[in-house]
Amino acid sequence: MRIERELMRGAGPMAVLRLLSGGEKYGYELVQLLDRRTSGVLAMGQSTLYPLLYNLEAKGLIASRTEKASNGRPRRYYRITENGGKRLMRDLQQWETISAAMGQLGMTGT
Amino acid sequence: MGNDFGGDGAARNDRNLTMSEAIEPSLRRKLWMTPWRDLLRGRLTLGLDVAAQIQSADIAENARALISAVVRRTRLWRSEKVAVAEELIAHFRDGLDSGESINQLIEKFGDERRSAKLIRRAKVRNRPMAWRATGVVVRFIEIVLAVQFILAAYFFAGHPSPKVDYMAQLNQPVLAIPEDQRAWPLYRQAIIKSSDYHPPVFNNFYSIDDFQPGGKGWPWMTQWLRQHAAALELAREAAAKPALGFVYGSHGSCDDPAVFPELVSPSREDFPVLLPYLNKLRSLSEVLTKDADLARQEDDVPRFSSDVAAILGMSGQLRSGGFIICSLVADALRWDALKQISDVLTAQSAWLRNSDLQDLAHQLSRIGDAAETYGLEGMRLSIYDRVQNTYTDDGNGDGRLTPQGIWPDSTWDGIVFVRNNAQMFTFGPAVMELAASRREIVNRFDQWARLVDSDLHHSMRERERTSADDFLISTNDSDRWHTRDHVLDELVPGLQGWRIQAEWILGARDGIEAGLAAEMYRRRHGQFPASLQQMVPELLPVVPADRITGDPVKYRLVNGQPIVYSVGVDRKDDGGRPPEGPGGKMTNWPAAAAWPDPTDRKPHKIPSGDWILYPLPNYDD
Repeated sequence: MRIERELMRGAGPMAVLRLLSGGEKYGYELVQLLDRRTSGVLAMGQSTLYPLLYNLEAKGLIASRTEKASNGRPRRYYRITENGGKRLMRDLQQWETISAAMGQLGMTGT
Repeated sequence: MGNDFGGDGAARNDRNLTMSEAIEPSLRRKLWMTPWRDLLRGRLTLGLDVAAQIQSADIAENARALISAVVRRTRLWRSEKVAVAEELIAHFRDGLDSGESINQLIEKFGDERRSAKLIRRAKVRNRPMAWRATGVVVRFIEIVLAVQFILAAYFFAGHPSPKVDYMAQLNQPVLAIPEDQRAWPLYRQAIIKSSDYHPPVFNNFYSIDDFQPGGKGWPWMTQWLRQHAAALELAREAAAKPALGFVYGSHGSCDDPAVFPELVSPSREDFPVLLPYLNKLRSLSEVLTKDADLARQEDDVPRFSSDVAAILGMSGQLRSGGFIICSLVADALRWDALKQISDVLTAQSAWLRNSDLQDLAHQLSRIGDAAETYGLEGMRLSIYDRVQNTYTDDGNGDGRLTPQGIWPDSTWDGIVFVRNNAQMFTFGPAVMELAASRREIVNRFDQWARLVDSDLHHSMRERERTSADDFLISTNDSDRWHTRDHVLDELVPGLQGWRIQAEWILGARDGIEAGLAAEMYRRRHGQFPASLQQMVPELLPVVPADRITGDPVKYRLVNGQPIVYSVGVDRKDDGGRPPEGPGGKMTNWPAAAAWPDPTDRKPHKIPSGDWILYPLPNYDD
């Protein structure tokens, strides 16, 4: 199922922050996790993921470092910052509130 | 690097090897492609060579081409492109390592253009605050410049289109005067005949005091006066004419090299109206004043009376144009004449016959009140002309300021901070926006002129504050208004100063009238009257009113001689004592008649002392 861009705009960053809250990850790893753990619903290509990561970095919600991987190539790892953690908590609360409200309207998934 | 993105797709694991296999980059390129940080360490790393980096990536050619296209489209800094390229290459490599095919990865990549756009936007957000602030400033400047260009185009597109010949309107009454009734043709001859009037300078400073009887320059003056009796006679004859008859404008009476050799006619019919005759007539009046001094020395009463009459006649003619500056000069001439009458009464009264006294009384009666002395017709026309030559005309009496209204020209000094084209481009549009519109300027001038007319019909006693000045102050009392009404600000003077000057003249006239009556009384009764009332109505129609209080003017005999005075602005009778100036000297102007000036921002100190109306003091002493 393809998610509308507006919904993706809100869900994408939150999903990335949620994944990074479990530890630092590199780009391809994030792509795989998003694909696998959301059954492809929040799957994103490089053209979406990397701008999203750069934006989160610009906002100070994530930070990055470059390190040589085991294959000798440079690889950039991303981790959630303190601000990113706070933001994730806030977004999750809002998400739950919305989800609950939707449920009261009988819009919960079955 | 001819084949930056055209590799054969073979995996190349050793980047340095690839570089060495390729064409060896020039030293210049190495320097260009090495980050400053590495250069400072003495290493040519080619760390900014994103093309080489992509080319050397061990991924398929189509993936390298995709990365290359995306990176190129981002238009980021080279260091940023390198980082993006590194990350995208790593992503493809990770995908390949995970077992995905290159085509699957390319398919999942997404839209190339959108990707480049989003990456650029996000990367730019990551740039240093200083850079982003600079960007904001640059964009702001761009907007300001764009607005400035638009306003400047609008501003420079404005051109005045004068339609009314105000000069002709000004000259209409002049040209209606029969030629034989015009004074100027005679003055002109007198001026030509006296063109060698160049009093010598003593001690590097010209002072008219040097040419008083007994002064260092008096011998020179007497000789000159005797040699130029014909010129003086022409001046007296001219002063007896009913009107000046000076034709205004650059092609009028001033287009006369014999009289005005220093004048260069302006290309445009400028309306400062060219009043060069003022200086010429002022010089003639100075000569007549000196001749009156000489006439007194030579016991030539008729010549003395003629000279005084000529000075007063000349002052009356100056009123005709309706320019304040002319009226101010006319007042100066009246003062000279009054001083002559006052001096001769106090120093040589026996020298005058009764008929001479009556003649002088008649002369005094020619000095009218302020409303008769000051006129604004010429000024009104000059303002209108200035407006039509500096504003656009929308056909409904309105318009905007044009560059012609900002450049300095022969009529005014212009806006002080606009002296060249760059300044005009920079400030001109703003001045145009700030300046009052054509209709506002004209309306405000007309309103001011009506108030001046009203003020001039009231003495200072009746209306101490001038409503015309209050009007100017109320709207001009800020820098913004200073710019907004620059035309009026430049051309319209404060009224209080000339009203006070007019009051001085009128006070002196009243005092000397009383002094003349007292002298006539003495001749009839053998002594001066004990009061002015004693002479009413036989010799004095009415006791003049103190121009400050409205009460009868004060009269005393001091050392057997009469003095007439007003109590002054302190409204306290000091027994005829004028205010003392610094060092105990008498102030050099009628300080006791100095009404507070509402345009003066400094607190006004009321002088203590009386305003002496007769005999007129030597204020220059």
